[in-house]
Amino acid sequence: MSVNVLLDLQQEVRRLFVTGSALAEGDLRLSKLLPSLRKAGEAAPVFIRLADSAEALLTAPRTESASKLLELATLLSAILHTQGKTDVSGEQQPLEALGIGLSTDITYRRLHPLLEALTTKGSGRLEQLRQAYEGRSYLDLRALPALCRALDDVYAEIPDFLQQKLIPEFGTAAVPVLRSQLDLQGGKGDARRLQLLHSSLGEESLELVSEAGSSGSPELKVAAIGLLSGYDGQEPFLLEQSREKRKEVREAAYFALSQIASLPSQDRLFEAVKSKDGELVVDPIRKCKALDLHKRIIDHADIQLDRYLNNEGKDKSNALQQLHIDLRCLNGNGHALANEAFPLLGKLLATDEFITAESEAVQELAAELLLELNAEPADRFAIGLHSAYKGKFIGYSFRAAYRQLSKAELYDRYADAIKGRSASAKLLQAALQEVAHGQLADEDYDSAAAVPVDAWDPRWAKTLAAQDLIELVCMFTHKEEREVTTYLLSKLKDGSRVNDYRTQNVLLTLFRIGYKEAPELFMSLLENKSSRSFYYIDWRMKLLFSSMPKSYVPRLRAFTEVLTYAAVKNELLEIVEAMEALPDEPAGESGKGVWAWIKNKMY
Amino acid sequence: MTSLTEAYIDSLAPNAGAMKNGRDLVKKNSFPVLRITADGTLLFGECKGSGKEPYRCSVDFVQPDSPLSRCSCPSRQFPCKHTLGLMYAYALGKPFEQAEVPPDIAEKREKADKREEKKKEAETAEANGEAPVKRKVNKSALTKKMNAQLEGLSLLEKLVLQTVQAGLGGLNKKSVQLIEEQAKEMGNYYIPGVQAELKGLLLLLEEEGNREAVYSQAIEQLIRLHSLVKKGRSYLEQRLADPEMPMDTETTLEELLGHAWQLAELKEYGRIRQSSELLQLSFLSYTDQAKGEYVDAGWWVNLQDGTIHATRNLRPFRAAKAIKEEDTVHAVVQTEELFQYPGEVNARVRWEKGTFRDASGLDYKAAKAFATASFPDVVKQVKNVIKNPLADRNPVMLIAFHSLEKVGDSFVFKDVQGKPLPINTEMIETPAKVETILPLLQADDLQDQAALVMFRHDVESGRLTAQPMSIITDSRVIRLLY
Repeated sequence: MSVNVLLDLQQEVRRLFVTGSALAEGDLRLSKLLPSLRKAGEAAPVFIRLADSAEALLTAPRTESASKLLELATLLSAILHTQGKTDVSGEQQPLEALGIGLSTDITYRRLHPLLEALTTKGSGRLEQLRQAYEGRSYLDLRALPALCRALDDVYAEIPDFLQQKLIPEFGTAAVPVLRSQLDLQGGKGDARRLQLLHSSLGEESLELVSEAGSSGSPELKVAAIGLLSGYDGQEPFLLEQSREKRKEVREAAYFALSQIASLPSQDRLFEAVKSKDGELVVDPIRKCKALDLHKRIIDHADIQLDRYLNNEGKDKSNALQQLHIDLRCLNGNGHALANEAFPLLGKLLATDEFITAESEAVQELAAELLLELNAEPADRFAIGLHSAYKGKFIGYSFRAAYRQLSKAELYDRYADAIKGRSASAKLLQAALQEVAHGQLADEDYDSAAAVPVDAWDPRWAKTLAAQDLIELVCMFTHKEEREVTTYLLSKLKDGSRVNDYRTQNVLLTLFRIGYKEAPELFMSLLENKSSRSFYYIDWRMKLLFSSMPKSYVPRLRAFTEVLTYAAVKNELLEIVEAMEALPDEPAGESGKGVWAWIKNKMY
Repeated sequence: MTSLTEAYIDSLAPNAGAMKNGRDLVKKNSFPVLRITADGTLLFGECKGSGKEPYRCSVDFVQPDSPLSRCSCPSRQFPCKHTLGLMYAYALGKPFEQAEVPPDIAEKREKADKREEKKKEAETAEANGEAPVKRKVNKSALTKKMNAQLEGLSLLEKLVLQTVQAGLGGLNKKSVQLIEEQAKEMGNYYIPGVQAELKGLLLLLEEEGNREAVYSQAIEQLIRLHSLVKKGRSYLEQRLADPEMPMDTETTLEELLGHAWQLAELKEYGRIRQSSELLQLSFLSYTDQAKGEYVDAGWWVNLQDGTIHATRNLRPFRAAKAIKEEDTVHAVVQTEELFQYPGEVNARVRWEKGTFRDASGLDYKAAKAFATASFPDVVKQVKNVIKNPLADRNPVMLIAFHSLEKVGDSFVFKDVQGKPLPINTEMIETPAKVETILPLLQADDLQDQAALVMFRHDVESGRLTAQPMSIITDSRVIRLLY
């Protein structure tokens, strides 16, 4: 059959559809096709029908042109639909099957939301992935390419989740997909692919990782360098990379070198500390296990101190800057370096010429490091800074003293200094708070409000109360003491709001020391009209509730029933109900059981 | 009922959201009361809702294969998340307390029994030769309706002719808007199918982007509309002249005009097949913008004769939430009565009552054996179908291929004789791309297997291509869609 004539005719018909059949009458290009249609008709009668139909269109008046065109088009379309070509040109080769034996059994309703989440943008996608992970509805062949592709997602938490949880579950099945998607010149997603390939292939991937390290894009280089640090024989390459133009690459190389910690690596890191990369190597050096490097840095710092003291102008400020970097490199390894670092830090803090306004940051750093050494001579020296430089280091002195002195000695030495509003008194208060808070952090909620009884001199509470340091008083009060209790009660007067955490702390303290009026105080504050609106309640409020004796339960219930916010109300009602359910206990013992129950619910 | 599994409960849920919500209720311990009757046929309990009173929900397993959910919540989803949660709680091993059947449920069970009895009576009566009450057709109403339909077709014809006369190139926003108004007007003539086809044209015209491709498709759609007018008119005129004439059950013409076949009608016309077994080969849910509905489509092979059937669960946008979203089915469905819609290839089917059994290697082998081995034969068959402008433009066939090969960036099937069938990977839009999945398969899966494929003739290039939907091996179905 003369297919070409058909295609020509199709062109013309199409043209007439676009321009409008109104212009078809006597159309030249269409009429030119008539003879060849007729000729083809000698072999296949269907062409005669086409020719007749085309002629009818050519001769039809405007008003009938449309239906004639449609008739011609219908016939032509039917013929063309029987002429569809299925031949294939080009070289055909067998498809290399990657041979992943995963099933395709996850049903539409479970798989589709996952695929949607992986291939679209918008909110709620991470949640969808979490669900798929929980329901294990992602271990399907059809999800694998999309999962690996989504490593490129810009919303970083999605690739994070995929990289850490979902894709590793596929094991080596993911390797061919990751490998085929990997572009060594790509971005963050490709760095993730490289890491995943390395974690499932291990040493087998070394060649690929090396290639990425030497010729990949910066992101790939960084990832590759991180992976290479675990292998022998990569040091020359890493040393070379530590001189790369891009900062990120150098940083990664420094980290890798600090892990290797060989002599050449140490040399390179030491060199970097002194160069403009000083800032960049601080973290890698902190992580380095070879302390010889740190000792060299201490010596270097010593020289910088001399340079600072003996020079003026630019040289002086450069020396200070370098000193700052050097000292920061030591952070984290203080104790192990105590012997080497103490002379330097002692000299630094004992040199009057060094204690100036411009070097403040370095002083603080040095004092902090001094405490980090956690060694007796260093602590003794720190204690000695008590009143040096107008009490500038009294906080450090106190923290060292807490470690070295008995509690009575500690109190005797610092109780006076804490009084007043001078700068040094404030520093001391802050230090006391810091030490006390450090002790609270390990504790559970229930005893959270107080420091351990035997760790501190009992006189602190009274002293602190006299200074109106309410937060500290709450932490240091362990028993009823007239002055302290009076002070605490004074804080509850004049309309304190019961849902203020300060009020609650005071109440909790009163409960703790077994103050008899505490339940009544709390109850009356609750029943005070002004404190009706609770938007939320925290553990303090729950602890207060559960600290109440059982005899107050009816009043607590009455209070709770009229609360406005349903969520708060329900939560408190649950506590009240739990209290009601408890057996009658001797007064003072109540609360423990309920509190344990509440804690149980909170985690 | 003792074997109530999570997967089974999932299959009862109307959609994925309901599954999650049901499970969440169990996780959040929202069921203070969980009870079960001694015979294990009834689960009931209370579920905390947002209101003061808990919802009372129950699931009745009196008929083990069709559990009945009841709940006092106002949700229109059925079963609601509370009854699903109740079942999940049981499947997940939460403690259930033994109890008596509550009186309200006992009462409902009694009523259901009575209904069942009545139905049986009617059936036996029918079997005894008493003719069932035949549906009466109001002839004057039918005539009136058909006249309206004819009028609607004339309206469409006028519109099509106008458009063709003026030319697609001359269409602008205003003229498209005019067609849109006409399409709306078409709603008054009892031809919703025709209206949808016109909307399909509109959607094409409103499309931004490649004008040339749009023209080709628009021309095809105009031809289809024109044929629909002509065929529809002659059919309606015939029926108008002879109201006793039966409806057309050979082609999809009635459906194209917009008739929604009822099962009773199909039964009346004898379009029922007794005891069939169907294996689903592929599933896809998509949106039909022109008709304004979601379509859950399944493609099945009839294990007796190899016919490829289609199921379509239609969920109009407005009611989508209240209609169950269908899902992939892995089991073999056994039906006593399979209702078959009119249509040439891939005729749509439905069933009211079906039972499931696990599919085995025998079933896959049986399905595979039905695949056509010669590509030229399949292609001929396909061309014969698609040359009809009103036919389904994307017939689905089961083919047997010898190998799957690569040509440049695309793929091709080869049959035993080495005849090619080019593969299209962009015909059906899914998030999981076929071209990314094919290379992952095992070598065995790509050698001498069967494939379910959808065909398409591209007017512009004049090429006929096929998109693989599933590959069927002796031991499994590899689903490339869902």
